[in-house]
Amino acid sequence: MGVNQREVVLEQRGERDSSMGASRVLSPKNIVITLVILGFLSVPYVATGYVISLLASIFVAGVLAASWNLMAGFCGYISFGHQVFFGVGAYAAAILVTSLKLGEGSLIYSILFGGVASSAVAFAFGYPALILRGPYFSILTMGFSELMYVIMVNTPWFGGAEGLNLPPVYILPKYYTIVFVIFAGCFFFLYWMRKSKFGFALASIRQDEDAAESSGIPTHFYKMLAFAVAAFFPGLIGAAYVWYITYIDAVAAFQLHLVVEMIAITMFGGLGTVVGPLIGAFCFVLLSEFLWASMPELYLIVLGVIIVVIIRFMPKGVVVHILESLKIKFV
Amino acid sequence: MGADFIQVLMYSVFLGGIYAITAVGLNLIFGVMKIVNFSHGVLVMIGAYLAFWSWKLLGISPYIMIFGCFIVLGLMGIGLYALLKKFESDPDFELLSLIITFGFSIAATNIVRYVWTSRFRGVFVIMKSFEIGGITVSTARFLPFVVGLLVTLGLYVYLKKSYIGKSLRAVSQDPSAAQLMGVNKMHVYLISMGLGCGLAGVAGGLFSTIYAIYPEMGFSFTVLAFCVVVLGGMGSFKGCLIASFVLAISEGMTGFFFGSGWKPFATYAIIIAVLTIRGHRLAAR
Repeated sequence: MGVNQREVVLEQRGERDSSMGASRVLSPKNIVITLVILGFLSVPYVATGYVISLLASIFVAGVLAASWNLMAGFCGYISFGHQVFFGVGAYAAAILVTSLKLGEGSLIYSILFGGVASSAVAFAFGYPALILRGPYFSILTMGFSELMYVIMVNTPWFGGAEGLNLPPVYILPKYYTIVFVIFAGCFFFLYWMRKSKFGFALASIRQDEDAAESSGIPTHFYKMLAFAVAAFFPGLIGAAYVWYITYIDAVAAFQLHLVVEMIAITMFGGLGTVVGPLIGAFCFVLLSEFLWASMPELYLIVLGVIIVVIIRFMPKGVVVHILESLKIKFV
Repeated sequence: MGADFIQVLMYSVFLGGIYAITAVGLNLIFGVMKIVNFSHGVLVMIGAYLAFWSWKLLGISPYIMIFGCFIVLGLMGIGLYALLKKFESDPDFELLSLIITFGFSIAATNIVRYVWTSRFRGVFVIMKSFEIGGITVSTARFLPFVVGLLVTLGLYVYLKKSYIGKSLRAVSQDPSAAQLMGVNKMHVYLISMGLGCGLAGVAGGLFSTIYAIYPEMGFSFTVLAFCVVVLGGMGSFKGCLIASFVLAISEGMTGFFFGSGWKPFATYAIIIAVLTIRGHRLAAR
């Protein structure tokens, strides 16, 4: 590869000049990002409980939508059972804490355990599942989620229909911080992934899997890796959530409306974009706050109608449409 | 124990008739248009409610209402096709049609739940039962089985012999070649969508006469119908028929031996096993 060619590649990746290391660290963009992160981290010290929990639910929705988008938007695999990883993370953390009788000190470890367990389940399930494509994969994920639900409800060891109780602790500020860190980690990962070898492999799989396979990309391995990552973040969120509500049962863990929210948020924001689910989550949590407060029974109707209307009229996503018409550059 | 077992086995076989109608409709749409109608089970649910309300309010027998269900749900299917038609040339057609039908089924389920609440309802049909070899067979449960077999066989003959059936099969094999031979593709798509969704309505109407209906039943029907199609093979009527009986029996037996809480386990375990084992062949399509 010639020097010029290499520069072109670096320029495409947005790493124009590596010799300006010091000024890159202190570039205006990085300073703004740092300030925004610090601002969000200081929220628990200044805001009221309601604002904290509202922001936390925005981050939860954002992470869930982004991880669904990782499979659907970047890889082209629609999962209708993605809430299963939320549930697996929640159950893994709950089982760890209740069976070993751990206290609040195990917060971080149990959350990490939830993420890793969910990732492991995804890896194991993904090995046979990701051979399938298109609708077969979608139905299989839905079946898997229902299967997990049936197992959890009917097995006494998992708490059965009663569920599992965790030690009752008040951790809202900590929960906020943890969820924010997961959220930030998820979006920095996606931002990095987009222009990495991994991201390009996924893009090639989305465009033409057979062509990708025949040009030497180990597609099955990359799909499994993507699936494991897409399960890791919901697993973390599920484990954090179980600490927050101190209780988990199969209905709450595998509820269908979680995946409906993920799809609606992603389609609203824009399939295959990094910022789409972020802005989509913000709009949706505000909408759901409003709907739950005034007419909770209409919530899922509105979500379903939104999904249909958006795909019918703006298949690229509302946020993407607006950003494109304003000529704003986005990722 | 022995008599109970035979009773459960028999009712499972009868339920298989309803599964067969549902799955044949999905099979038709999936085979011809290559899209998954994710809202298929929800259409079954709507058909069931239609039969229930026309029985409750107007006093129409559900067995006559299945024709009404066929027409209404068929029109609904054509409406659904109109929604999807815009993306036909889109490279993401498969992906978008999956999500759009998913969104439709979420909206429809929750509208039904909002309007008619989640209460379990059912049509009460009083019919004499008859006895074969010491086992009592209820006619109300036997009829859907007969209708299911008749519809499946009738559709099979229709698709084999008639001109429309031949053009349907031609499009499912190669859309562009069929068009070059003078088949109207749009026509064929409309017919397959209308027929398939109409059959979902028939299945719903029959289902309402023997089991309780509720808004959330749609999703299990979608997974089930898809499971039948995968197990029986796409485009195969014989396979579809056998697979629906296999699934219905395995569901009934799981409920009989392990308690009714485990009933859905059988279907999901079978579909996961089938897709895992046959996955390589399905992916090659």
